[in-house]
Parts: sequence; structure tokens; C-alpha cells
Amino acid sequence: MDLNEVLKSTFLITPELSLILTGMILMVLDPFIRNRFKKELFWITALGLLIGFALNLNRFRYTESAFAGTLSLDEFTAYFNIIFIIGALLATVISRDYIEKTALKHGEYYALILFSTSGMMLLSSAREFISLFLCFEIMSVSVYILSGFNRRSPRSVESGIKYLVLGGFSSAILLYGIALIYGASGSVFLDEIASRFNMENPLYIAGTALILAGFVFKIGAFPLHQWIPDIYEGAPMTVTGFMSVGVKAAAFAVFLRVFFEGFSTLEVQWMQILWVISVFTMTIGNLAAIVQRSIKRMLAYSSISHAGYALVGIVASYGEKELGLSSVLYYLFAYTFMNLGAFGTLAYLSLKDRECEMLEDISGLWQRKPLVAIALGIFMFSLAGIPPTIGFFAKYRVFLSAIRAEFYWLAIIGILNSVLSAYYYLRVLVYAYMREEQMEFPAPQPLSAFAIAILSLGALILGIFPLYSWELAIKAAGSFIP
Amino acid sequence: MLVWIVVAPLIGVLVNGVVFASGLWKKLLNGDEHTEKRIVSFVGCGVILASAVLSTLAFLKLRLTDERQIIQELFVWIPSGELKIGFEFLFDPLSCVMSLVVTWVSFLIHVYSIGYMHEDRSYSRYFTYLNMFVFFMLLLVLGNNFPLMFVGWEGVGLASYLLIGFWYEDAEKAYAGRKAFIVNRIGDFGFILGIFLIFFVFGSLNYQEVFSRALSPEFMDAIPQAVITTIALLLFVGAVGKSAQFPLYVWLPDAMAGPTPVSALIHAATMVTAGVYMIARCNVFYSQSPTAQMIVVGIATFTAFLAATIAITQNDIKRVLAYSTVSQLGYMFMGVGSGAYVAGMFHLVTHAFFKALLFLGSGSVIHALGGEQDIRKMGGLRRFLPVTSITFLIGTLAISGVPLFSGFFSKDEILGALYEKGYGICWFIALVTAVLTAFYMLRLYILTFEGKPRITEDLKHHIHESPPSMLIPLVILAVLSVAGGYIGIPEFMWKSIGIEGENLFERFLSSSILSTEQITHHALPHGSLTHWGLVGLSVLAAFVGIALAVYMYAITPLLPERLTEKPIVSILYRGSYGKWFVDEIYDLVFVKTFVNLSKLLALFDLKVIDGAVNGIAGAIRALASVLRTAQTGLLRFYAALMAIGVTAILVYMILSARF
Repeated sequence: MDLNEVLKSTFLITPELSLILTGMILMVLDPFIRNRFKKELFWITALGLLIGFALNLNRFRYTESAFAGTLSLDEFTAYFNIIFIIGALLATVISRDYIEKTALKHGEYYALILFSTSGMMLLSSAREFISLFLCFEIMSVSVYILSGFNRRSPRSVESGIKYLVLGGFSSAILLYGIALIYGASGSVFLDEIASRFNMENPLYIAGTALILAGFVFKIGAFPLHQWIPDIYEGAPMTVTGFMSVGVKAAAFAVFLRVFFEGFSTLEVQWMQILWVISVFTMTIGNLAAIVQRSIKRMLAYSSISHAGYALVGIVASYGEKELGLSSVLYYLFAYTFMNLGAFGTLAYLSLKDRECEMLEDISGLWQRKPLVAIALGIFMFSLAGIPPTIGFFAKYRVFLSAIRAEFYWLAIIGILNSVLSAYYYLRVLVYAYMREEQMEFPAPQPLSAFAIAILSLGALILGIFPLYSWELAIKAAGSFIP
Repeated sequence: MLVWIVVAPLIGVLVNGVVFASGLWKKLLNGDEHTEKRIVSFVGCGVILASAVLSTLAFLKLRLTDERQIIQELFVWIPSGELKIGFEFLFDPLSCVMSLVVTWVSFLIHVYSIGYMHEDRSYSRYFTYLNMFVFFMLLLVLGNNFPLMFVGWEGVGLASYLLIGFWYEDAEKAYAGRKAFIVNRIGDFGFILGIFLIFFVFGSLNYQEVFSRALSPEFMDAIPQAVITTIALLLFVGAVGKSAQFPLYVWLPDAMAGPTPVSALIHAATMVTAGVYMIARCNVFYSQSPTAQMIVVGIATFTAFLAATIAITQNDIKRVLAYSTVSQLGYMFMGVGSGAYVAGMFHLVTHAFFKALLFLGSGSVIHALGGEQDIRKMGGLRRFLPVTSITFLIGTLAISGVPLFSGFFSKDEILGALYEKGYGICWFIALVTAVLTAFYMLRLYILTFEGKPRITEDLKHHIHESPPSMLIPLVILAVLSVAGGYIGIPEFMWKSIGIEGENLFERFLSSSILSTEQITHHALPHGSLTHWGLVGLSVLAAFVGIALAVYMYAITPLLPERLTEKPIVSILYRGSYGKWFVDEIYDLVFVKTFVNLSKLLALFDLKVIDGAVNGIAGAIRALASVLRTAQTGLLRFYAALMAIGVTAILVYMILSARF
């Protein structure tokens, strides 16, 4: 690899670099800034993310590979990067007020968000296991720290440590799988692995299974979903929002690339497993969500079941490649709006010493803060998949692709689950709109309110006019299908 | 330009609705009520005036165009397979007449409302609804396909419901609103089935396409006569609901619960005539189905007669007018049903003038008496309300068919058409109805304005003529009630006085009547002598009715009471006074049966369906609680579960890849 190519490759990853550089600048600036100005570091973060976003848009025009084929920069990458940056940007906006309220530290927080996001972005372009694993860890380690970021809260610290241990466990499994594949094929590049894949060699099979398990953990799907409720519940609200959309989408991105590009020889087998996994993931997530009295924990379980819906799209791509894959991509896009919105609203409503997480905490919301109540209503409707929200269109596409691919039972189970989920989402609204107890609510926070308004309007308007964003998903899926 | 005719009232709805009726102005902007009322009146009337002026300009433009129609396409509204429904407007003579009547009469009534509703708390809500009504009515009239007409059709139904129940705190008024809405549903069901059938048969819903196919012999040869009859009758079911014909007329008298200007605009002049417009629009179907025509004329005649017999004994001033509206709508349907589309439309126009006038006049009386509607407690009001009484008298004479007033020309056209088309019995009943009409209208006038005042002494001091904003519309409508008839003076009358004139209204409208049999003028073989004979009979009918009423109520005021004591008259009187107990019969046959059936089904729903649903919910809850126990919070436990999970995936994968 000569200098020219290094320069060219570096130039190609400018969107990621802009995030990393901003993160570094923040780390350097942080000690020199007086405490009361630290919250303004947010503006630098936002600027870095916006630059990254703008540079990333350029990627819809070309498909390039960088660093000797370890990264593939195409529309698929660009699409996922949009999800990551939107998620990160809006999570940071809400975080600024949230950190201020709960008296956390600003500087490191933003840098960690940026590092984690850059990890996600690189992850969606990785085509080689070593860089893939590194990006995976960049993303994960930053999120481990963020989960335990509220050092005054035992729950948050517990969450961070649990995540670290269990995440490390899953990384080990993933790495073990990678090692087996490398041992069998002698390569870490996905295309080479695909061409050397041999059904007769058990190392390939075992390696595939372990890598699958590693990704299933990050996606938060059955049977490796147990960590989700505890960690989501313990982490600071904004961090939960950020990781529930970002980490999950990144895990899906890398999952799609590895399995469709590297392990397509074994497609029948892992598709079968995914069928089972998606059914259990949807059902268990929903059933457990029903009995929760904490909205935060309910949303944690609901994020499990949403992973299940997205998996339905992957299974459907067995028969309907383009429709199935674009429906997964679209689902993750939609999920970003509605789930980040839901967590963002709870963060908005949290007080210094009391997180807004129980159902009772939002009673009387409609009387006291009608606009927030409307936004929350849009997010809940969207999560439940009720038209005209984006959640409806996303679910519709996923189930439609399952039906087109003739996975009728999968579609039926998915729809029944969706019906079930309406119960606990709408219960939130019952408390918000119909209970009159006057709870204490925080003072208005203009920036957060702005972010929540964008998310709710996005969830609504993209639900009414879904076709433009849907075409983007089709394009992204098209660039990726081999 | 056409689109602005429709959009103007919508702007009124948005401004008045969003800014004022929503409370935005009062609560958020802290605006005062006086300014609010001024702006609302200005916007509410202004948009209608704009619409009216635009309609007039479009009318002038239409006269200059050769093809006699203006079509404006906005966009494709519903693209779905072979079905393509455009959002487009049609301005041809028929819709031109309708939109001129709708906009100008609406404008007058809007102005009238400023005075009438001045004291009302929900002033801006009232104008929002009223503007909304005009918007939907214009959509109905100007739409160039059946779905658009249907949207307008349902929209005016909604506006009507909202305005009948405008004072919804009064349970009875809210009930009247619901009744109107539900009865109309029955008609709308027929209407929409008719639309489906049209699409099924003709493969389109656009007027030009459907009617040109219906007129081409090659196309029609393949379609059985019965299908066209079914279409015509299904559409007529819709008309029966909206235009209050037997058996669905029962909602209209109750609809008088709304404010009086609403009764004048919606339940007399415009909305209820939508059915007549629809049949005139679909004349192609009716002219090809003699069966449908016969049924339309039969029902119309029966309705006209029945409503007239009820009107002669009612004591509520608005109720008399309501039954009179039902009866007059019957006349219009006789016209369009017998193929005399122009005559029917002509009566629609003149009726819009004089019935709006009569309603507004009654509103002026009610306003002056502080809400009193019972004519037994009125009398002698001419002295107190000079303008109202004179204009009311003009309206009365117009509806009675006194020569030189507008009703005379239009009613005569219809009677002539009936006679000519061979509906002899219907013609005779219509003639008798004309006697009854003149009778009950004069009775109403005499009991209200003539004789000795029967109002309380206290009220006498407070009674006052209405403000100018109410009187000016009355005067203008009175002029129109006289002059409106002159646009349609038939040819033979011109000839008799030695002028080579023609029926202007007919000439203008003729290009909209596409059907081949266009018998609208009196082409009787017997020459103009028969014409004049028929005219003479209907004039006679009017005067007999008037003379009877004057004799009974002005000359010998005690006669009616003595008459009702005689056995046969007494039975008839009670029947008429009780509205022939149609409401009670409906209640017994339909409402009670339906409620009982519903109760039975509710039981099934409660026990069986809810039982099943609750059972499932309980089972799911139990399962969820079991799952919950797996969530211990212990790190080691989770790690163990994960290890099991990983192993499971590994084993499954190896097994499925091997075997």
C-alpha cells in the first residue's frame, strides 16, 4: 500500500475522521475550560456531527474501497451513517439539557458519544474481520463507559459493569468465531472467506455459529437478550436512547454485511435459526414488556421485540432479497426516530434527583405539558405501528416482505405480536392523558424541545410521505446486494 | 378560477375556525370579543361574497364559450389501477345555476346571520360551520365526477348535523342533529351503491365519460334495462334521504332545531335541493328508464301531498315552513322525475328565493318575540314588524302560485309537464296540493301578522323590528321572489301577448340536459288554448286555497275550532296534527326492534367475545410473570444463560448443516 493510496483512503473516510477529530479536540479543550462553560462544548460536538453528516451525503454518489479493501464505502454505509449521525446528534442535543439537570460532566460525555459513533460508522463499512472487531470494540467500550457515566448512581455503575462483563463475554465469543473462520480459510476478508467456504469443514460451521451468537448479543435478540433490561434501565436516560438506536443499528449493519457477503453459502441454515430467533425475540420482548410498570424498562423490552421485527425482514430476504433487505434498513431508520424520541421525551421530563421512568411519573402530562404529551403520543403510536406514523409504514414493509417471500406464519406471528404491543404502548398514553395527578415536571428546555419536535415531526411526516426515505433504503440495499 | 369559488369559503373556515372558534384568539392572543365578532363577520361574509362574485364572473365567461362548459383539472386525486379520479371542476349551465343560487343566497343569509346570531356565545363557531357548509355545497355542485359529488354530499351532511345540533347543550336539539345524520346515512348508503354500480357498468366515474357512454347506442345495447333502472333508483335513494322525500323525510321537520338562518340556507334553499340537482345531472339515466321515472314521480307526488296535509294543522311557524319545504321538494322531483328537468331546476331556483325569504321572515318574527315560535301566541304583528310582514306576504303569494310571482311560473311548468307526460292522477294530486299549499301558507300569514295581537302586554312594549342587516336580505329576497320567475316565462305566454320571446332559463340550461327526450316546453297538440286552460286551473287552485284560508281565519276566526269538533274532521285533524304518526311508527318498527337486537348482540359480545379476549389476556399475563422470574439481575446467572444460548445456536447450526 503506497502513500498515495493511504492518502486517498484517508480522504475517503473524512466523515468518520471529522467525528474522531472533534472528539479529540473536546478531550484536549476540556481541562482548559471552566466548569460553567463546559456545557457549550456541545456546540463543537454538534458542529463535528453536522460536518460528518454533510460529508457522508457525498457517499451516495460513489462506491469505493479503502485501505486495501478493508473498508467498503458505498450507499449501504452512507445510509447507516445517516442513521447513526441523526441518532447521535439528536441524542447529544437532548443530553446537553439532561446533563445540566443531573449535574453530570460534559466534556468526556460528548467525546465518548463521538468515538462510539465513529466506531459505528466504520463498522458499517468494514469488510474484514480485524478492522471489524476493532470498530466493534471502539463502539462498545465507549458505550460501556457511557452506561456507567452517572457515577453517583449505583444503578448506573452497576449497569456499566454488567455491560462491560457481558459485552466482553460476547466479544470473546465473536473473536473465537473469527479465529475459527481464519483457521479454516486463512483469510479475514469477507470475499475471500466466501469463495473458500466449505460446507464439509466443521470449523466453518462452528465459526459461523459463534459469530452469529456474537451479533445476536449486540442486537439484543433471543437467546442472548437478558442483559438488555438491566443495562438499559440502569444507564442514564439519554445514553439508553443513544445506544438503543445506534448500537443496535450498527450491529444489524455489520450482521448483514458479514452474513450476506461472507457466509451466504450457509444461508439456508442461518436463515432457519433466524426464523426461530425472530419469533422468540418478538414474543418474549412483548410478553415481558406487558407486565412492566417502569416505562424505561418497558421500552427496553420493547427494543428486544423491535429487533425481532427487524429480523423478520432479514428472514424474508431469503425469498425477496431486495424488498426484505430494504425493509430491514427502513425499519432501523424508523426505529431511530420513534425510540430515541421516546427515551428523549423521558429524559426531557426527568428531574435532577428523579428520572422520569415509572408510569405514575407522567400522570397529568396532558394537562401540564400538552405539546410534550402530543409528541409522546406520536412516539407511542409509532412504536405500536399505528398509521399514519413512520412505525406503521416500517412494520408494513417488513410484514409485506415476509408475505411476499411466503413466510406466512412469520408474518402472522409478527402481526399478532404487534397487536399485543399496542397494549403496553397505549397504557403509557392512558397515564399521560387520562390520569390527573399533578406530578412535578421540569422547566422547559428549548434545545431538547427542539430535538423532540424534530423527532416527532419526523415520525409523523415520514409516516405520511414515506416514499422518499423508502427509496433511499431501496438504493442502499441495492448497492449491497451482491 | 373555478377552484377559487370553492376555496374561498374554505379560507373562511380556516381563519374563523383556527383563529377564533378554537379559542386561540381569546386565550392566547387575549383578543376581546367585540373585535372577534367584527373580524369573524367580515371574513365569514367576505369569503362568500368573493365566491359569489367569482361565480358570476364564471357565468359571464360561460356565456362566451362555445362548448358551453368550463373544466378545470387540478390533479389526479385517486389513481388506483384502471380507476383514475381527478380532482376537477365542471362549470356548465347546470352547475352554474346551482352555484349562483348557492353563493348569492348564502351571502344574503350570512349577512342576515350577523344580526340574528349577534348575541350568541359561539358566534365564530357558527360562522365556521356555515362557511364549511358552503364549501362542501360548492364541491358537490362543481365536482366533475361522482366521488367528488359524494364528498360534498357527505360534507354538507356533516355541516347540517353540526348546525342542527348547534345548541348542543339542549338534549332535544342534539338528538335532532343525530336523527338527521342517521336518517341521511340510509340514503347515502343507496347513493354510494349507485356510484359503485356506475363504475362497475361504465368503467369510469367522470361525468363526461359516463354520460357519453350512456348515450352511445352501441354501449347501451349490451346493458340490460334493469341495470340502468337500478342505478337510477339507487341514486334516487340518496336523493330521498338528502332531499327529505317519503319515507326518509322525517329528519327535516326536526332539523328546525338549528338556528333559523341555518334552516333557511341548508334546510330550505340549498342542501335539501342537492337531490334534485343530482337527478338533473344524471338525467341520462332517468330518461332511459321509464320505470325509475314513474317511481320518482309517484314518491314525489305522495310526499308533496302528505307533507301539505300535515302543514295545514301545525302551530309552530318553522314547522309549517319545514313541511312546506318537503312538499315543495316533492314538486321539484315531480318535475325532474317526469323528464322536465328544466322545470324542476326552475322550481329549485324560485323556491330557493321564496323559501329562504319565508324562513328569514320567520326568523325575524322569532327574533322580535324573543324566541317564541307558536303562531297561536302571535297575531297582529303587522303593526310592529312592517317590513317583515310585507316581505313575508310576498313570499307567501309566491309559494302559493299567485300569477306574476315567481312560484306561479315554476309550479305551472311542472304541472304542465305532468299533464303532458300522461301522469294524469299525479297532476290532479299536485293540483290539490297546490290548493293546500295556498291554504296553509295564508293561514300561517294571517295567524302571524293579521287579526288581534295575542302576545302578552309585556312583550308588546319590547317588540321591535329587526336591524338593517336582517331586513336588507329580506327585501332583496322579496324582490327576487317576484322577479326570479321572469327568467323562465314560457314561450306560449310570450306569444299570447304578441312578443317573439322564448324561455331564457330553458335555453340556457338545455346544453346540460344530455338526454334525447327533451320535452320541457308545452308541446301540446291542442295549441295554446290547453296551455292557458292548465294555467287557469292552477291559478284557480291558488285562489281557492287563499279564499278558504281568508274565510276561515280572517273573516270567521271561530270556524276552525267549531269544525274540529265534528267527528270526521276531528279524526282527520288529529291525524294531521300528529303528523300521521309516522315518527311513532318508525320508532316502533325500526328503532325499538333495532335496539332490542343490539341488546341481544351486546350480550353475546359481553359473554362470549369479551370472555375469550379476557381469557387470552389473562393467559398472556400469567406467561409474562413466569418469564419475569428469569430476570434476576445476577451477573453470573446472565452469563450462564448466555452460555446456554450460545451453545444452543452452535448445536442447532451444526446439526442443521450436517443433516
